Amino acid sequence: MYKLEIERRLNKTDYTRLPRLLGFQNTYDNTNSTDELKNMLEIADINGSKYIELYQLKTTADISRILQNLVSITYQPNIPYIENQGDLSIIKVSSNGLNFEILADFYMVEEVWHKSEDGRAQTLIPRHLRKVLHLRYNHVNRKLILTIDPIGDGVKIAEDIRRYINIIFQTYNINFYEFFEIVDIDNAIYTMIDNHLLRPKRVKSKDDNSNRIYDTLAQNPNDSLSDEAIFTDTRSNTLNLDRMRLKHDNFNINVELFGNDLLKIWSRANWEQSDGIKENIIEFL
Amino acid sequence: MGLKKILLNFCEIHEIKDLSCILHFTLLNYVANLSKKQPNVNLSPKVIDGFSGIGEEKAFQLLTYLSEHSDLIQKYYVFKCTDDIDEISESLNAEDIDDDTNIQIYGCLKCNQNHVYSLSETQFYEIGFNAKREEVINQLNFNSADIFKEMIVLNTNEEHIDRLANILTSKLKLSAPDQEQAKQGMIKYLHSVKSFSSVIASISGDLADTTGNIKKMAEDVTGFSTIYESIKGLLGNS
Repeated sequence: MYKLEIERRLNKTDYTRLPRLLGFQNTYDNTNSTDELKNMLEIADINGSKYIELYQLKTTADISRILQNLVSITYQPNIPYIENQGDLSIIKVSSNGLNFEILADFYMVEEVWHKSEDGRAQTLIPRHLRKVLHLRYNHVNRKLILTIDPIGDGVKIAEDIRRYINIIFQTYNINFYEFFEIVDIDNAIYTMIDNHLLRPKRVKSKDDNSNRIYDTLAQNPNDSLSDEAIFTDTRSNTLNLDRMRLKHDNFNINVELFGNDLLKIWSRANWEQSDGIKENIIEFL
Repeated sequence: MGLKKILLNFCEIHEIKDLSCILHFTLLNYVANLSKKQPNVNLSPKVIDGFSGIGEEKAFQLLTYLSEHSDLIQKYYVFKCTDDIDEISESLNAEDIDDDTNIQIYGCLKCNQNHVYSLSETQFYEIGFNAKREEVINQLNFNSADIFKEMIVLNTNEEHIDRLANILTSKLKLSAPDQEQAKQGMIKYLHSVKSFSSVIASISGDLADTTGNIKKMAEDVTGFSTIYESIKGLLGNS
């Protein structure tokens, strides 16, 4: 069961590297130890395809009030799905007195393509899919990175994220938004484009005056829309960004910016790729 | 192997050696005219056919051959949404595909779902080409020996002169009526003007180079002609 979940989240080339990375004796295929698989799943849980939001600790906020309330929990994923599992469970909490990390999981019903036995036909069938929300606070830059598995499409999931955050912090009687405010990352993304780290491949924006929607796509995988009027008008806020798909050539991943503050990693990013893009965003803020 | 040699090999294999010069002009002019802001530019068989007249299928074969023999030109695949093959799902460079039968696309641009493709399912993709602009220009640029060789071939074939005139007038970015007039003027002088070689040499340069050289070419002729009349607005700015 853990293997199925690991393989759903990461590419084969990455999950087969995990045993060696963690210092285990067996290859991935020969691993049967639940503890070892759990360690691998913990890494798979916080990588792969994710939405990312970035939060800043408010200048007046006292982070020790959060740190004091956290009670350590050893990683314990909710697998398999059990009927009436509840909304969301905290499955790991750790802190060193300065930083903290929280992992939570929950299940959502999603339609998944299923191949017929002869492999000819595909049908959509509903399945309970496990979703993971991860929070990591770093006291050095006073920033908290939130990642969450895809739970829908685009800006509308921001409301769901708020709901999940509230569920987590209600456990500690804390109002998260008294401590943290969301950070706009669009300027960091534009600076990364200027520095040739990201290439815009699709820009979809709206002109609020005319109520027209503009959507431009680059079919050539090496193209960049940075010389298009829709891009420059969106950057200068003449148009309102709906979504912008970008390619990170160094990390070989596709990401998408929604509005000002929500980024999605579309690829099944490994730990190097997802850490790299997060570091990039903070570096270019 | 350089692009000039690869191009020549293609023409020999396909027995269109007499077209090698016009294909050479076409490719160089095409790549040079595309945006300088982009290190990579798109190459379309349709455009190559438009200037060279070799047919879209042959132009596609040419680009395929170039992509197989030079890393300056790459083949790519534009995959279609499996639910709506009129819409784009995602595009990938051929070199980024490890397994032809298991190509994973995360987040289709149409439906946001993940799709798996196989290159055997040709209904789900189209093929395109892109070029590394600066390197292609460097490899295809003309030296004086090239021009001498191309001139000999060109002067033996009226059709080639017509196509070259198309290429040169396209660089002038004139309105449609002026373009035809300029083309006719160009054809007339391509036969006789000594400074024709400088026009060819500047084919990969910017608009100012080309118009400047055409101005010299026009001045080389006794009495200004349709070509000068057609482009005098541009010449005034050059």
